[in-house]
Amino acid sequence: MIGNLLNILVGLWLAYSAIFANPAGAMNNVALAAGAIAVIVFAVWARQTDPLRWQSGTNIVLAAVLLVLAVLRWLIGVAPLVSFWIILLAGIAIAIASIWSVLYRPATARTAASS
Amino acid sequence: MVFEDPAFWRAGAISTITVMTIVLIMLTIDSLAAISPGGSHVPPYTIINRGALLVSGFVQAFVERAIGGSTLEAFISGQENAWFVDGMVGRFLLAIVFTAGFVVLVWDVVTLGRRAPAIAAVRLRNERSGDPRDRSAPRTLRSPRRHLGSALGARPVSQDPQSRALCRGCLRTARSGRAHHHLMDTARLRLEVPSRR
Repeated sequence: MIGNLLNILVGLWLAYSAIFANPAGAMNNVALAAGAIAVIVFAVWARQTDPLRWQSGTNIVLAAVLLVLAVLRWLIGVAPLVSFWIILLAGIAIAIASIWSVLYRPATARTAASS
Repeated sequence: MVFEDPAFWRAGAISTITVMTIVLIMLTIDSLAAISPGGSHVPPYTIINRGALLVSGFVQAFVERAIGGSTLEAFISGQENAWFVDGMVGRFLLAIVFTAGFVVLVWDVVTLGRRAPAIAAVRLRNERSGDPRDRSAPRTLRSPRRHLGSALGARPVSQDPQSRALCRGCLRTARSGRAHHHLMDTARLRLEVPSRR
């Protein structure tokens, strides 16, 4: 639960950093790598209590993509436009999956709780 | 199965809408900064005002630069150049024409209610006199060819005895109709005309 809430904030921060960087997408590489690692850690933490695991799994995969992007930017350089779209879409997807995981509880659990 | 649970999709919809709304706000703020003067997509006003507004602005800028480059003296001298003055005079004349057209348009709209009761009165008169012709339109509107000829100068309406009599009759009926109803209520006349048929 808390891990998902933190992942929401990290995902929105990634989208914010991609949009408001100058030029767009040219956010700090260290910050990008740190954000990706934070998403992985929080997703693993949230995975312990999540009713469905695919949201945290998705977040881990997206964070791995961001980590690879950070490494590529450090090694060979990536165009800001390409970085912008990858960071923006990954940040949005991470935030959506995290909120989804926070909001949804399976029907069986809700029925048992109500009875 | 989780995909058959409506709550699953409801949570997905809420999360998607929430995140995309936040991102849209960010993008709007970023776009507003980009499209404001001096932003990444719009040059500042000091550049725009230097000749990018209207054709006269272009002429003014070209004349200025031909006279003395981008200096204040050239800017002042350019105001007195014949090309620039002619452009301003032409613009002023067209503004007068535009203003006159606008005044005519407003006058026509404002006096619309004054003309409509007269047309309704013609219909009433035709009904009362038992005119077998189409009563949906006044007589003056049912013979366009004759009145078109009058308008083109073949025979003025004022010299056409039939039209003059009709016009007098229209006005008389309209006046009596207004006095009868004590008001110029066009909508009321329109409602009453079908009910009397």
